[in-house]
Amino acid sequence: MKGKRKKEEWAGNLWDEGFSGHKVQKSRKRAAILISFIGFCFFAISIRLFDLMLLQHEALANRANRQYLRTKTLKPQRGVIWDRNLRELAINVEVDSLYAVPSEVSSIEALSSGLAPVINVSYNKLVSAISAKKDKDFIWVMRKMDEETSHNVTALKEREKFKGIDFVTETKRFYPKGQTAAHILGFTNIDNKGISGLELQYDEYMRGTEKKVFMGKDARGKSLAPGIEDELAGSSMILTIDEGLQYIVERELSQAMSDWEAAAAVAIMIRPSTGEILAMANMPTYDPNLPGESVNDNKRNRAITDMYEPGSTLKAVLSSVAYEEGVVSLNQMFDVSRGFIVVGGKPIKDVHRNGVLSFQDVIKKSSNVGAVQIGMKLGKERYYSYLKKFGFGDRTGIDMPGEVSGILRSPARWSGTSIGAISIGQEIGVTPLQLVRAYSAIANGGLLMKPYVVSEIISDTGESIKRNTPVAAERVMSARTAKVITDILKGVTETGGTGKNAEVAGNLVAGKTGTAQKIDPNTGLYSKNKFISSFVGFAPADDPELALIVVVYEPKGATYGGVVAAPVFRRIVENAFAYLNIPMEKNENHIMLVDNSR
Amino acid sequence: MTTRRRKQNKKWMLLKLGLFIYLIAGVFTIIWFRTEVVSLEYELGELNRQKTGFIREQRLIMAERASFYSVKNIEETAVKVLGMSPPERKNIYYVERTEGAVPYKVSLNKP
Repeated sequence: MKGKRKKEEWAGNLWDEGFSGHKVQKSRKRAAILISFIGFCFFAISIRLFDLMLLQHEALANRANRQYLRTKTLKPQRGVIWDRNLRELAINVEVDSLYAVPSEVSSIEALSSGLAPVINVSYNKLVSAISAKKDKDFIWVMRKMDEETSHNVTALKEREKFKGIDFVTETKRFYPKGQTAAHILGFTNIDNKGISGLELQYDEYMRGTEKKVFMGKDARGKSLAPGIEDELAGSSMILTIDEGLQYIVERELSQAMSDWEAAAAVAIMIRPSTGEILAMANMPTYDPNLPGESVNDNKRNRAITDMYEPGSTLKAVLSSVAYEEGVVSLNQMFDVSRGFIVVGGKPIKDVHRNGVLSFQDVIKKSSNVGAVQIGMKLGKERYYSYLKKFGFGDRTGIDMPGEVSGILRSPARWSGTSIGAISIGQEIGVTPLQLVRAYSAIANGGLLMKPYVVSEIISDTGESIKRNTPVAAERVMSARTAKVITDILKGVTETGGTGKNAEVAGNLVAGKTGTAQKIDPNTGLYSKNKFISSFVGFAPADDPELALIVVVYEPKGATYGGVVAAPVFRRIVENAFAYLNIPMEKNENHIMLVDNSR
Repeated sequence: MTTRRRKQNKKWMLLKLGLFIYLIAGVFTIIWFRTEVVSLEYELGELNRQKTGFIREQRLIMAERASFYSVKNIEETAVKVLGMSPPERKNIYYVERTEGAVPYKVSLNKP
C-alpha cells in the first residue's frame, strides 16, 4: 500500500511538471530496456569473466607467464673426480659456443666468408649448414670453442657488425693432468655425457639433474635477476688412484714401450690388503681432452678388456693350489732332466735344461716340465675348481666398464693336453687385472679381494652417497700356504731366479716372470716371433704394500719376461717406494745416532 | 547557507582533498616501490652476470693451477729447470725424535 502511494505521488509530481501519462509510460519502457541492456551486459561480462578466470585460468596464466617470465634450464656441472689425495683429475671449465639465428642473418655468404677462416671450417660447409636451416631460429655453428677462437669471433662480429650470431656459455669437461689416468677416467661427449671409463660407469651420479628456473624479463627481452644463487652440480668422486703412482707407472711403461719397441704395454698396481687400485696404465694412450684425435685402439683399457695367456706367471697359482691340497711338499723333488714331458701325445719342453729340482726350484727356475708334473698330480677337476676360486673365467667385478671374464673352459671340455698346457699358463685367457688380483691374494694371506677404483661418491651438498670398502671375495688358500708360496716367489727375484731383474734394492720382492707366445690370427697357431712378456709380484714381500703386474706386448729384441718386464717392475717399485716413503728393509746396520745438542 | 553548513562543507572538502592526496601519494609510492624493485632486479641481474664471469675466470685459473700442479709438471720443472734429481732411496734417512734428552735416532726405518 505504501509503495503504491509513493508511485502515485511520483506520477503526480511528473504530471505537475508537465509530463503526460503517455510520456511517463514511454520513459518507463526506455528505462526498462536500458536496465535490461545494462543487466545483460553485466551478465555477459560475468560469463566472460567466469570463462577467463576459472575455465581458461591455467592456459592464460601460462600465456602471461610466457610473456613476462623467461624459462631457463640450468644444466648441472659434472661432478669433480679427485685422486686419493684430493688432487683434481677431472674438472669443468666454462667455454663459449657459437650459434646462429639463420632467419636474422642478412647475408649468409658474407657471414660464412668472414667466419670460416676464424673457426677453421670450410666456407662451403658453413654456407650449406646455415642455408639448410634458413627458416629456423637456431643452429649451432661451433660448440665449446677455445678462448682464442672465441675472442677472434667476438672481434670479427664487432668489426663486421654481423647479425644473427651469438655465444652461449657451456660447460666443458677438462682433464688437467692430460694423459694421466686417461683409461681410468674415460671421457665425455660434446653434451657432457660419459662415453668411457669412470665417466661412463658413474655417469648417472656425475651428470646430476637439470632444473628449470623462471626469471622476469622486460619488454626488450632483457632478463631480470633470476632470484636464485645455487649452481647445480652432479656428484663428485674420490678415487683409490694416486696421481703420483699413476705417473710413475705411466712414465716407466712409456719408457719400456720405447726401449722394446713394443706394440702395447699394461701395468696395474693394487693394494693387496684392500683391493684398491692405486694405478692402472695402458700404452699407447690418448689425451681425454682430445679423444677424437686418437684411434679407438689407443682408448682401450687393455688391463680389463684384453685377455692373454699368462704363461709361467700362472705357475704361482698352480703351486699354491698344489701345496694347499697337499699334493706336493716343500722337500719334494721333480726330475726334469729330460727337458721335456709328453702330455696327451704332445711334448712340453723346458727352455733351459735342468736336473732334479725341488718344488721351490720348479717355480724359481720356471720349469715347464716340473709344473706339468705338479699339475698332473693335482688333477684337472681340483685345478679347475681352484682356478675358479681365484676368479679366473669370471669378471672381477671392478667398478669400470668393459671388463671381460677371460676364458677358462670346464674340465669336460679339456683335451688330453689341457692339464699340461694350463699348468704352464696356456689354453687359458686371463686379464692382467685377474692375474694381479690372484697374486694379491697370496700377498694378503690367502684372501682374494674385490678390486675397486672409486673410494667414495660425494653429493653436491657434500654428503657421502656411496662409500666402497674392501670386500674379501673368497679365501683361496690358508695363510700358511700363502706364506710358503711367498717365500718361494722371493726366490724368483734372487740369484738364480728368472726374475732377478725385478730385485729392488733394500726390499724383498716376491714375483714371477711370464713369457707367452701370441696366437697368430692368420694360422691359429702360436706365433714364433710375437710374445707377451710379463712380471707380476708384490713388495715388500713380507709386509706387502703393493702388488704390481707389468705386461709388455710384442717386444722387439728380447722376449723373456725376466728381461723385458722385470726391470720395468723394479723401476716402478723403487720409485713408488721412494714416493710412498717406504724405507729400505735391508742395510739396517746403517742406523745412525745424531747428536741432539742444540 | 548557514555558517554551520559552510563549515561542514569546508571540512568535507578538506577531507576529500586529503583523501585524494593520500590516494595519489599511495599510487606513486606503489609505483616508486615497483620501479625500485625492478631497477634492483636489473642491478642484481648485472651483478649475477659479473659473478658468472668471475666464476668462469676462477674455474679457468683453477684448471690452470691443477695442470701446473700435476706430478709430471712438477718433476719436469724440478729436473729440467731447477736441475734437481730424484733422491736415491739409499740416501734417504728417517729421523726419529725420541722422548727425553737423548740424541735423535737416524735410521733407514720409517718412524
